Order: sequence, then structure tokens, then C-alpha cells
Amino acid sequence: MGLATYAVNGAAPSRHVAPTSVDAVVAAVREADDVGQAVVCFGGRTRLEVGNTPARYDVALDLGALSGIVEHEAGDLTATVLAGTTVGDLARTLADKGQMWPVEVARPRSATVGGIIAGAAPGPSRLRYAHPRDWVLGIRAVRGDGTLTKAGGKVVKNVTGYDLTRLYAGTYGSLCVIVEANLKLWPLPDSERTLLSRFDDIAAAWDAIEALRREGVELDAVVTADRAAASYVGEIGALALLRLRGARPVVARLVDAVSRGLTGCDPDDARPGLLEELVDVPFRAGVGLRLAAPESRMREVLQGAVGIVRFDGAGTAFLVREKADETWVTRWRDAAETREGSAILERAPLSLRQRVDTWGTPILPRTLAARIKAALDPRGTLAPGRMAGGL
Amino acid sequence: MYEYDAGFDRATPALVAAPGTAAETAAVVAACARAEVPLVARGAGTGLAGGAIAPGGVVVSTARLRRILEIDTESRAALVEPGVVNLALADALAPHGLLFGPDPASQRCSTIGGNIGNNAGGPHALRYGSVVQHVLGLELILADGTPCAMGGRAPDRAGYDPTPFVVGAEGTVGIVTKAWLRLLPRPEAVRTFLAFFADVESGAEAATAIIAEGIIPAALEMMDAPTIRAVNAAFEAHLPADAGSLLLVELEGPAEECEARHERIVAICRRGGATDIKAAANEEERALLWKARKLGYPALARLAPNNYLMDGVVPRTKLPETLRQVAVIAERYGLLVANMFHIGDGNLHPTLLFDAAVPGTTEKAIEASALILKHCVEVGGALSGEHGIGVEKNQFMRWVFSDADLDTMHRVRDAFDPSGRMNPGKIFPTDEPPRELPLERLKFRFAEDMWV
Amino acid sequence: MPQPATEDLRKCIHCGMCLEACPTYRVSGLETESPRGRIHLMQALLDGRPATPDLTIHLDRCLACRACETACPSAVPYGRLIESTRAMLQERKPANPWLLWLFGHPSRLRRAFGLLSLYERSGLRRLLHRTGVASRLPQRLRMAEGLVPQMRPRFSRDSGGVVMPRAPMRARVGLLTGCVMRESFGDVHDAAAALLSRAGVEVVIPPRQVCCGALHAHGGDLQGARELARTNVMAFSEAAVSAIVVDSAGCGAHMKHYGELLADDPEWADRANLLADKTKDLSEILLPLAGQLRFGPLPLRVTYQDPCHLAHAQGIRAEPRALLRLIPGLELVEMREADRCCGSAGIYNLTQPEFSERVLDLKMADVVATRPQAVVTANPGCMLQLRYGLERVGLDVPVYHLAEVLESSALAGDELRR
Repeated sequence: MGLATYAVNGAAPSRHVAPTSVDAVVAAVREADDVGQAVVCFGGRTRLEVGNTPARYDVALDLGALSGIVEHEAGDLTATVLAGTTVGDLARTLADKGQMWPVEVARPRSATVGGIIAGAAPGPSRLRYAHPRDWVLGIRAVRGDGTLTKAGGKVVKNVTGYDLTRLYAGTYGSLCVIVEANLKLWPLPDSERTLLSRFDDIAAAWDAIEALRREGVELDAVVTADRAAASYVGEIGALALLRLRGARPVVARLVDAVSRGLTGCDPDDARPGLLEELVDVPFRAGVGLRLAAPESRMREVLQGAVGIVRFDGAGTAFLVREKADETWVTRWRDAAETREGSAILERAPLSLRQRVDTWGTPILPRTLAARIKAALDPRGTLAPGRMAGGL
Repeated sequence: MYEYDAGFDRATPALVAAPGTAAETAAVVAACARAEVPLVARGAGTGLAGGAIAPGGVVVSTARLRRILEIDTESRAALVEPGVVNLALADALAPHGLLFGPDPASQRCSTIGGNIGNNAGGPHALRYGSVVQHVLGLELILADGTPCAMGGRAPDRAGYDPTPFVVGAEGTVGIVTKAWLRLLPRPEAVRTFLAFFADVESGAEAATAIIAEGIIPAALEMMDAPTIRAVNAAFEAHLPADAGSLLLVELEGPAEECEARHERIVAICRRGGATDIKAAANEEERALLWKARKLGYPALARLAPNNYLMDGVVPRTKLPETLRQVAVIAERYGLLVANMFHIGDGNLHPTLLFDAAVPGTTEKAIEASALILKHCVEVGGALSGEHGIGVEKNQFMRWVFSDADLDTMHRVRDAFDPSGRMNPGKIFPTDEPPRELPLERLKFRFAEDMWV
Repeated sequence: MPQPATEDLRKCIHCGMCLEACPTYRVSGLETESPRGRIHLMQALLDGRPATPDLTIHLDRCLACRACETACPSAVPYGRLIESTRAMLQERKPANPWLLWLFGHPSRLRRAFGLLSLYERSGLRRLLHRTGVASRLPQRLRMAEGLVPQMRPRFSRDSGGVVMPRAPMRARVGLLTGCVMRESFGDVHDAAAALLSRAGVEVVIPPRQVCCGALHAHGGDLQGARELARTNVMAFSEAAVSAIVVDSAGCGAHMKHYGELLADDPEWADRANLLADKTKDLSEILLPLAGQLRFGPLPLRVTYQDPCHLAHAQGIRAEPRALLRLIPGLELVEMREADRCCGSAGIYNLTQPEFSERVLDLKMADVVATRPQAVVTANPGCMLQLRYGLERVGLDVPVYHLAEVLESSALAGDELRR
């Protein structure tokens, strides 16, 4: 593959490596660190655009070939996988044994386990199963100086030493290169139904879902989209997609409860794949702004917004549109940051990236963040400048 | 007075501070920074690994910071101070139909701050996970006295989020003064029952089979015969005195699902040789069972003058062989062992019972415990599932982690506390046998001897 | 020399399960004010650490409510430990001699309370002030004033006697008149005797009985306590009763330990044990006989405060509640942690006014939350303390003894019958 395909937000490397073993990753990172070259990790490229353009970028470290399920201990509900393993492949293997890694993200055929952890990928599973980092028991990772280290372990409950595993989550390859992960698995539910309701207005969909949640109806996943966002998946009007999972009689009862709660909007089975398509909308749009806010304040944040895909109950929403300027970013960033939230510009054309910080205001004081970065990547080898605060 | 926690080691602190506000806490920490003295955060002192003892340092008690600042039902999050007692939070959440997942056995007294410091677990960690999965954000006082916010009720905010790293760091990187906690809706139905077995092994086989069949109960606990005896004596639990072991199973969730899983688990237990199965008839019976389970460890004090409650964890498939090994080791050292533990997640709590007044017995117990932990590590497990490392197991850390791994941890610690004054001497193995703590010196030797 | 027993101390494995049960830990958040901390101190004293005031203050601050015993899974006999520790310290430095003297004999107390009825509050203040109880702190003074018992009738059978059963006779019991109760809560005794009589119980009031001695034992004066115990053992043995009914939780708890108290006295040990076994709280006796009683309506929203020496020391929680629930129209609203001490604890409110008030304030928040029309309890000290607490928070509702409420309802039942 040509080097051009390894460009990241306008920056291109001088070389690329595609190691197939952990040792080779160690060698590649050490080599780069020794000569002061900067490394950017590649997995399935679903989270690659997130962050600022790297300040330096010499080596593309493509981990796609470092893939495979090292071990699946079905009796323990644990698995060990190499970082480049895609969640699609993983899901198929696990499903044979009636198990799953309950982390659901956009583009499962490309998205890799390492990339998902490093990129804190959002998805519909967040409602019930929270953060991807909560489903990782241990990690092997290579520090910026090329040292291979491990944290955590293979057991489901473990307080032996620091939980660096979770520290690495959401650091976008700026602290270490994740090479292998021990995963915590969960039984696959017996059955599922995904219902689609249409609304004139997304606010009406939110009202209905809030009411269901208050009543204690256990929803497995929820995505709502306004008219503008729905148009990306060829649907008309505001949508609410509700997935119900569990034992067969439970799902049947939940379907009844949802149908009663949504009378007038005729919930019906959604067409297969619609949920995945909605999750994919931020990738289909020209601009995607990821909003985070306390669930109780999300509606205030979204007041007046257009082009919304929201993971209701999970404190996350995307604003999507074809074009945007820095005023638009600033407006929604203010709305979120003044309400204990964030607005991260995950998808944007280069022209916009050059005019606006993609992260906004980080929560952690920069001095501490910089010390953490320096602790694990002392020479600034790993994706320098990609993280918030120019780290 | 502040020289102990619920564990073995004792050491006298130089000073105890009990601040009443976050600002006072910061001021105490800043004063320690100016005086260049070490400090140790302490909640209720119910830890079992000596994490809260402070040889010659300043103990900063957070027990007085006990306000629940906000309960945000819509976001299912609560903002609390570290001195809030786990059970008090549960009581405050109940009217809202919400709960805080982690329920360590010490929950009647242990504080959220302590729960965070040790990444506490408890029986329901099987379904809900340990504390780390339930902390959304923190306010941390750093070693120099500056407050520092991280995470929050909104997920994935910009920049690094070391919140889950601070959870379980045993107070070595700062002192928590506020925490945003994740709340969960109360389950629709709860079912609690006991399955009795002739011996520990058949009970363990049944537990392993339940998990292997893909059923994750809310809690899956085991008690062996000595434990049954002790809780009968302490709580009038009226458990069959002749049972070799029992499994305490709790299912939570939609009623139909509980029902179906109950039937499947009963079938597995019967196949595995269960002698009897008995359901809790009502909420009172259920409460009694849990009281017996959660206060069972101190109740063991009725069987012998001293006991050593251990904490180790193994892959669930290795449970039966590990329990056999525990029995073999205890017998070799002439110690009585009682087992009452979270079998569902492989988290063992062998309790060695002995009389410290007999010379040499404590040393024997410590040596036996080291062998048991060594075995846990060898079968792919870990040194601690929920109690932490503290000064109890720091010398054994090299069994699990390489120098590079420990160096990595140390670097992150230094990033938070370059001065190394926050709870020094904990978690990390020492290069020299430590002076203040005799038991640790002993363990230092075992750690070296058993090094492979 | 009295001292805490090593085997009792060793039972504590310092797990900390007692902390939240301890009212002084709850209000202070300090290990030094917790049972675990105090046990550690007792051990230190035993190991030869000097009994300096800054050490013993923490032991003095113990309410001896024994809530920690209820919480303790390891069965540490904390009550015994604190009493023996106090006795040990007492030998080194007598505490509160005046108070012990005052409560030591009915006649002294009567004289004191007699003075109270002559003087107004200022009179009491002078009295207490002069005698040294209310000496140092203004707060102590305020507290003492608030705690003055309202002048209530003396017990009608003060000098002894027999109350005949008003229904077919089922038992013959003795009634402990005690000290504070007979002087200041005579109407409670009258109510108790009336209830028993209605239930077919003959009630004997032996004239030679004295104060049970609980305050002496709690304060560390074991010699005085033993003296009083012997007198009572004698008085009740002469009365030939099948049970000794006590309507004051603190006295009942103490008398149930007469056996232990006199265990080393071969002449008295057996008789003391027998008396201890016969000692019953009023509610224990009444509940099985409740079928004999006809309760009339008493439309009242009440909350019930467990006296520590009933709930923790005697394990009696259900009986008083069950009796209250028999009253038609009475609504029992449980407060949070009803078995947490109110801070009265014998003479604690006089010796540790600051902690007593903090414990009381915590209690009052829970009382107020139930929006009661009356507060019910079963111990004189608690009644005084709760009344004082209600005054402090400005909640104008009465505090009743369980016997009073039950007897009022029985009287209403009489009305119905007529």
C-alpha cells in the first residue's frame, strides 16, 4: 500500500510497518524511538481521524495484521485477542459458544479491539454495558520507549497493582501501543427485537423514551435521530430505535410495554441493519461532532440543534452535517462544556480542523496530563500532538 | 488508635487529621507537602491489606466528609463525598428505585472513599463488576494540595481520563474528596436460594458448571462446613450443620428470566450432587442469609482466637483444583481453613484459623498464605480480587509482574506524585526488608524463597 | 482488682463492623470515639499505658448503649468490657462520687427531687451547681436544666404492697420500683401495675427493694452495685414471685446480669442467677397476656425509640412494637435507626453534655422526619432526653412510656365496655 493511504488528517508518514508479531511491534517502536521518529497506530481506521493532526509523524504502525484470537476460555467467559482482531471476527467466534464481547461500535467489520479500546469508541451497547474499558481485564502494551509491559490479568476480578488497562482506554495510541487484550465476555441473550417508531419531532421521541425509562422498562439499546440525520439512512421523519434483548418471554413482555408506551407512533420491527446504519451516520456525514453531557442535561445541550443522532440514556449524541465552520463548533462546544460536557470534533474536513481545536477544553489539568504522557512516552514518540492540549 | 485497619499489620502514625470539608482536606495535604511528610488517606479502616496504616506518617481521615451532594436520577449518577458509608448510600438511593452496584461485605461501615481506594468488590460484583465500573468521575487532591477534577457524569470528555486508574490505586496518587458514581435501576425481581453439597469439591464443580453454561447470577457464593458452623452460631441461620458446603445463589432481573435461570441452576446443582436446595421464602429470610454471608468473616472469630482472611483469585475453571490445593496446604501447616467466598468470579477467601498465642503459629499461617497465593498466580490468577495489595502482598508483586511492568506502574504514580509521599511503601515490592512491619519482613523472605 | 478480661479483648478482630452502630462515632467520625478504638485503648491500659485524661476521656464518652454488641459478629462482650474498664479506672480515680451517692439510695434521691418541687428551675440550678454536677460548662448547665423531670406523681404504692388481679389470676410477679422511676415516673409504675392487674397478674411491690445499681456499675462502682444487688435479691426472694417485672429498660438489663455481678460471691451467686432469670421487661410479660386486655381506640401517630438497654442489652425489639400495634387507631411510624441511642445513657447527658447533645440532635432529625404526634419509649432516661430533644427542635409533642400508652388504650377499652 502506498504511503498516501497512511495519511492522518493531512499528515503523511515517511514509512510504514505492518508487524505480525508482538516482538515485531516492540522492535518497530523501539527503532522509531531510538531515532526520534514519531509513530501513529492504525487498526481498522474507524477512530483514526479523531484528534488533532499529529505534530510529527514518521512511521505508520499498521496493526491490522497483528490479529487473531489467542485463546477463548469459554468456561471462564474470557478471551485473549491480538489488538488487530476485528470485533466482527471476534463476535462470530464467540457466538459459536453463545457468548459475546458486549462492545458494539460502528463498522464492526473494520473496527479492531485495540482501536476500540484506544479510541473509547461509542456505540449502542453503552446503555447497558457501559464503557469498552469495563470489558477489558488486562492489556499487553508497548510504551513509547519500546518496552513491552502488561497490566491487569485474565481473571474477572483483580486489584493486583494499578489498573493501567483502563488508563490506556481513550488515549488514542498516545501513551502506548496496545498489542493484546484479555477480554471479559458475557452470555449472548436468547432473543432480541428491535422496534422502530417514527415521530414528527425528535423531542417527542425523547419524551417517550424518558417515560419508558422512568417506568423501568429495561431497554437494551436506544438510538434516536432527527429528520436531518434520518435522511442519511433513507428514512423520513424523526426516528426512535429501541432494541430489547433477553429471554424470549421477557422480550415479548418488553415489546408490549414499549408498544403501550409509544401508542400513536406505531412501533414496529425495524428493518434489519437499520440500527447499524444509524450508528454509522457520523461516518457518512461530512462533519461529525460528538457531544457528551450528563443525561439530565443533554436536552438543554441539544436545544435548537439539527442533525442529531443520540444514544439516549448514555449521555452521548452526534451532530452531523455536510459543512460547518468554527462558529458552529464553538456554539455547540459552549453548550456542552457549560453543562459538564464535551464536544469533540470527530469528523471534519481538513480546512475546519486547521481552524479549530478538535477536542475543546480537557477536564484533566494539562500539567498532570503532560506528566502522564511523559511517564509512558518520554520522547514523544507516540502520536505527538494528537491529544487534547497538544500532547 | 489509628494504627490498625482490619488487617494484620500495625504501625503508629505521627499525626491524625480529620478534615470536615474538601477544602480542609486540601489544606492538610498542602501542609504535609510543605512539611515534606508522608500521608495516608483512611476511610473507616475496614481494609484487610494494611493499606490505611501509616508508619510515622500523617493519617488523613475522610470519615467526616459524609454528605451525599446530589442524586441525579435521570443521569443515574450521584455525587458523594468519600466518607459516605456504602450502606447509607444504598439507603438514600432506595426511594429513587436506584442502587450502587458494589456491596462489599463491610458495606455497613466502609466508606465510598475506601471502596474507591481499594476498588472494592463484594458478592454482586459478579453481575455488576467492581467499584471501578461504577465511578464516573473524581475530585482528587494531589500530593501538593491542589484539587484536580477528572471524568464526570458525562462519558468520554476531552483528554485523558485517569478516573479508573485512581480507583484501586490505594491512595498512592491522591486523596479523593468527591466522586460521581454510576447508579443502576433496581432489578424487577430477585430470587435467592441455597444449594447444599456433601463437600466443597462438588459445590465448586457445580459453581463452575453454572458459569460455563453461560448463566451469570447476580451473586454466587460458597460457604464450607466451618463457615456454616460459625454463621449458625452467630446469626441463628439454621443452616444444616452436616452440609459439606453450600452455594448461595442470587438471581436478579426480569421475573421470567429469574424463573428460567433458577430452574436451570437447580438442575445443574442436582446433577452435581446437591443434597438439598432451599429458597429464601421471604425478604426476611433473604436478609438473614445475606447478613450471615456478609458478617460471616468476623463470625469466624468464634472458632479460633485468630484468623487470617485471604483474598486471591483464579480463573473460574481452576476453582476445584485450587480449593483442593488450599486444603492440602492448610493441612500441611496444621491450620484449620474456612472458605466463604465469591465462587462465581473465582475470588477465593480462604480464612486460616489459628491461635497466635502458640509461638510460631502466625509465621506458619503467613507462610501457608504465601503458598496459596503462589498457587493462584501459577494457575493464571492474581494476588487480590478486591482487598488490595497494601503492605500485605506487595512483596509478592514480582510473582505477577515483571520489572518493566512495575516500572510502568511506578512511572504513572510518579506522574501524579513526584514526591512519593502519598501512601508510600504500599503496592510496590521493596528492595530491602522493611523495618517497621515484622510480618512484611517475613513475607519479603517468602517472596524471595518462592521466586521462580 | 477489676480489669477487662484478656479473652474478651482478644475476641475483637478489629473488623470495624461496629463503627456505624456507635452513636459517638457517628457524630464525630473519629476512631477514638468508636468501640473498636475503645477496645484498643482498653488493651493499651491493660498493657500498662498510663490512664491519662486525654486517653480516658474517650472511654468516658462511651454511652455504653451496647449497639456495638448487636453489630458485632465476633460476639465481643463490649458491655462487660467497658464496665470492667471503668471499674479498673474507678479504683485509680473515683468518678462522679456525688452522683453515685445521690442515686445510691431512694431517700437521698427523694430529698433531691423533693427540693426540686420546692424550688423552681433556678433552685435546681443552685442545687446542681453547689453539688458540683453542673460545674464547669455553661452547656452542662443548660443541659441539666432541660433534663429536669417534670414533676409527676409518685408511685401510689411507694411503700410497698400488693395489686390484686382484676381478671382470673394467671401469675404473681414482683415490680421493681427503682430510683428515678419511683420518684418521677410514679404514674408509669401505676400504669404498669394496672395493666398487669387487668391481665390477671398479681403484682407484689416488696417494700425493702432499692435502686438496681445499674448506674453504679456503669460508672465503675462495682462494690456499690453489688451491695444494692444483694439487697434486691433478698427483697424479691422474700416476695416469692415467679417473675420480676421491670418497666425501666436500664434496670432490667442490669438485673439480668446480677448473676455475673455476684458470680464470685458463693453465698449469693445462685440466688442472684435465679433472680436474673426471673427478671422480665414489662413488654415481655404483657405480650403473651395481651389477649386478656381489651384495648380501646387511641388515634395517634407515634414513633417508637428503642431504649438501648432494651434492644441491644436484652434483645427486646419486637414485643413493644407488637403491643403498640394492638392499639386500634394507633399508627406506628418507624424512624430511621430507631435503635440508635438518644444520648441519655444513664447519667451520660450530665457527664458528657456535648456529645450527648450531638447524639441527641442526630436522633431528633430522625424523630422529626416521622412527623409524630407522640414519641413512645420504655426507659425513664430516654424519656427525659427525648423530651429535652423535642424542646430543642421546637416540636411540641409528648413523650410517653409504653405502659402509659397501653394503659390509656385499656382505659378507652373500659369506656367502650360501659
